[in-house]
Amino acid sequence: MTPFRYGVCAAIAVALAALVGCNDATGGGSGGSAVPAPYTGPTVQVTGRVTYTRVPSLPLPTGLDYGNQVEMPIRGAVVEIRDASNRLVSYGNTDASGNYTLRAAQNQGNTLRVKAALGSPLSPNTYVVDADIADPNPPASDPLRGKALFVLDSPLTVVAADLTGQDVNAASGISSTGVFSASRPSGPFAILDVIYRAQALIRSADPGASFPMLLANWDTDLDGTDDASSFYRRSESALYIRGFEGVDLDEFDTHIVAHEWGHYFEHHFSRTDSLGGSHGDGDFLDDSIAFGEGFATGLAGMIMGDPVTHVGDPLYVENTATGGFSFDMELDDDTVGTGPGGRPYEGYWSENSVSEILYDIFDSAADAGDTVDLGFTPIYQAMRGGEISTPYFTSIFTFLNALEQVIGGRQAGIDALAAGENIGARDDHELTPGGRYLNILANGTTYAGTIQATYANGDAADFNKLFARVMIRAGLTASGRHRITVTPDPITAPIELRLPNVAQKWLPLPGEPLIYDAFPMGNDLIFSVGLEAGFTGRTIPFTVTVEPMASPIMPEGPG
Amino acid sequence: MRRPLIVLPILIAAVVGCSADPSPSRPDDRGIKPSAPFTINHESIPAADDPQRHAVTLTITSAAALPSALLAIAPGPGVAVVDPPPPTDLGALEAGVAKQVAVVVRVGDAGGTLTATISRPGSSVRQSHLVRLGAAAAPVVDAAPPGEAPRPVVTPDGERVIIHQGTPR
Repeated sequence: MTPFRYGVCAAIAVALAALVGCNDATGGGSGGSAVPAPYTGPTVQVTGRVTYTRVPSLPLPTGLDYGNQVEMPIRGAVVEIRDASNRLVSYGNTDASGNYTLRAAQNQGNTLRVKAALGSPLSPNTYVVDADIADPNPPASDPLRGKALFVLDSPLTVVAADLTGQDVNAASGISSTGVFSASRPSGPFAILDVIYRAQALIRSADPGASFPMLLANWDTDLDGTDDASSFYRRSESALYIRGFEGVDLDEFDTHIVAHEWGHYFEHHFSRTDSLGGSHGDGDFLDDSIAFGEGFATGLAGMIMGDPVTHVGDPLYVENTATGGFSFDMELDDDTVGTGPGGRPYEGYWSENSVSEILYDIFDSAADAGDTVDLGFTPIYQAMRGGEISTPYFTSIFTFLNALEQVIGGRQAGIDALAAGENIGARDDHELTPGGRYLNILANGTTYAGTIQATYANGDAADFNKLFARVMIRAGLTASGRHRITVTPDPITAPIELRLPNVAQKWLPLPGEPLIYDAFPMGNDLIFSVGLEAGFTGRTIPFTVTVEPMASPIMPEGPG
Repeated sequence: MRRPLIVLPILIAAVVGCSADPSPSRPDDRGIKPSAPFTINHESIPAADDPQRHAVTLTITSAAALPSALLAIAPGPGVAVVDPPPPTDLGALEAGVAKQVAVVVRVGDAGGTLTATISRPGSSVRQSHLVRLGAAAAPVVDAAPPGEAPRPVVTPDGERVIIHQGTPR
């Protein structure tokens, strides 16, 4: 690790520090005071290692093993030393073993600060922040959006000469019998370490990859806001990780943190058309959410493994205070029985099928039915390439086709993995007879479609289940503006229209058909008509017409 | 991060002239963690004439319709199973419809635990539920932590931080 000393970089540091922090009187505390000038006096070298204490997870039913906590290195974190007057003396990052080398002010007290942040010390790309306490009016320039960053402080001995062995640990704050203290310093660093591993996996495929800003919110307060699950929220580019004592400590569930980071990866590095909403084992899901969730779980197994040897960790574990659940991506899941409509549980609708395929493509283990060992790079390239550019809704089909573009065609081993999950002949949109898309012509002909209720559980998440939307491919017979007209039966039925790679959705005006004008490019117009989110599952017949329009719409001018 | 240049068959929506409402955003733009396949709750009632004898009722609800599920009961320290549930095969489960299983146990003076684990034939999915009984019924992890958690402070150079103290090694 190369330490940076204030000097040449001082001016840059001060300028960026003002951006990184929230130098605003509304921030409270010492708001309004001037930023201290950096320390420029004589220094000594300080070396040491920083660690965090992890509560390991054993196979269920044991779960989190409080009696055998382990110290792990804090890797890649931003570290800095401040003098007795809180002036910044030096800064850097810990290395892959948690070691740091910094400079401290000579002959005075200094503080070592380890930030729960990754990336450049002056402009990190990842921060672990408190989910619940925020400045309501942060400055626009504040990358933390008013949230508070977790840091670990440790005083350093007053010295005249170089100082070694300044090793510091972030304790778990949990006893060997599971009794909590008020302060739980290691939680943020446990989250940070999974993200460090995730970034390392990406860099194994793309050494030049840079990471857009991520706020990893550690939620330790059951205050009724965003408490129900750990999740990634696209509109904030933020993870929310549950850390509720006596309830659920997801900061120690590595695969959950990695799974949610997988949604960040989809958002910023690839693409997803996932509908969102709740999902789980045994669910028959819409193609896009099945792929998004299965991808995130498969990626978690890769993140918690070794990108060089292609050995991953296939065991996904969710620990809670009263138990938990787990599944193993190396074992063929859901092979017994059939679900709604007599369909087998395995298929493009199953997030478990997707994660098993993804994981088997990555890993080197030659388990039953798996002869594939591609590692992560081709998966990364597929997600960065064809999975972004496909004109269709994202699914296991679009991914496998994107992968074929990367590896130069179909491979028998990958076909076998797909076939093992009841995913047979395929193309980018499963055009095979009985396939997923309703194929129509955009020539004014009216076609019939039906939104189906795979589930009618009275569940607000029925909208993200299989066949709750009809994906439509309208072959174009002309260029220019086209009008889509969808008439549900009854006319008041809750439907919505979505387009691939567009976050927006469209609803009909009350009591009217849904009419949408588009300017498609290419040979097809792709869209879906589905059950509006939040409504319980039901059957909704509809008719759909796509017709070319004579003249383009001109934007309305004033008056 | 620089995204690759993407050439998409871009659909340019023209709202003007459409009889459709562009929803301002998706109601839920979150990717959330997988839900537990089962909801498992329990109720434990000590016998009136024998406080160490507990009737434990497990209530199991599957999130999805399943053809079958297996239940295993494992007593932990301080608990002995007196009357195990006869069938461990729960049979077919309907989504959202609860099934109950009763087990009678004897609990030592210091209390004890019982673990119920549900698995599915042809699946690696396992879900466990810990039942604390007798004197162990109040889990230590629920004890109110002493002291107060660190609060955010704003540093002289404007950073908003929550400071935990490191432990020297």
